[in-house]
Amino acid sequence: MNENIDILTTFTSLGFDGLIDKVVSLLMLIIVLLYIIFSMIVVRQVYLMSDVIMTGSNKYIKFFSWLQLAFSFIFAYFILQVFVIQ
Amino acid sequence: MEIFSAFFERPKNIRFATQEPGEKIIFVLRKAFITNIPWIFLSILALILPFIYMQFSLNSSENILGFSRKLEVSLIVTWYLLTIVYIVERYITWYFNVYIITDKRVVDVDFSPLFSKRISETTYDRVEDTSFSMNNIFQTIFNYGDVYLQTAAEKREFEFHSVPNPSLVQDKISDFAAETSNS
Repeated sequence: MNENIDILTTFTSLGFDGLIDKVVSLLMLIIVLLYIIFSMIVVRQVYLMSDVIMTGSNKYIKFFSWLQLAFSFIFAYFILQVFVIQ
Repeated sequence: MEIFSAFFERPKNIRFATQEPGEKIIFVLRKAFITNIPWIFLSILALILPFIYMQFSLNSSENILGFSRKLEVSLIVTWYLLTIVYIVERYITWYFNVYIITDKRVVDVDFSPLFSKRISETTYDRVEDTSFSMNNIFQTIFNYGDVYLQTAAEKREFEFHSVPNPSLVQDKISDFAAETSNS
């Protein structure tokens, strides 16, 4: 019972701007998560397609797909720092 | 640069999954690179737009759209992420959609972004008719167009969209089809 009152107090003390901030942070987390999933799918797709058609330049495409995945994780870390942990 | 090329004639370093021993690749084709110009232009515009907004926003004490700084930053970040997703998706779709013409058959690799791929092929003995078309002034100037193959195979029609040198490609396919029907 006391815990419920605590949560309610926390939310009401946030005010409108605070609530917007929390919602924005949550949305950013979801967006970054979707971006990581997209990057993983791209890596998978690039590898699948590289098995269908093997060209000398596939290694560059694979490299860029991994680079994008790495970027998505670094970006997620940045978003966590800026929007969630602060 | 191979990663931007759309026309390979007798390539030495390209193979495909169902290639038979001794089968020679004559052409590997993608859509002409110039067909990517509209989305590249759109992407550059999408990358520049937040900079223009930020120029105005940083010079004014109040945010132009009345957003908090946090919301503003998150909208710009989301905008850039969507732009990256759009660029990556468009590029890999172009890169992996290929048409392969060998001395034995024609292979069409269709790659749909993120979820599916489809590989269709036909041998020359099933090719009934070939034609090509160049439909507008850009195709005539930059020498690219569509090549059509009517076949007796399960897939009745093969369409190679916006490939470079369509007359040469069509000519080669009809030569192979004629050779096969004569032998």
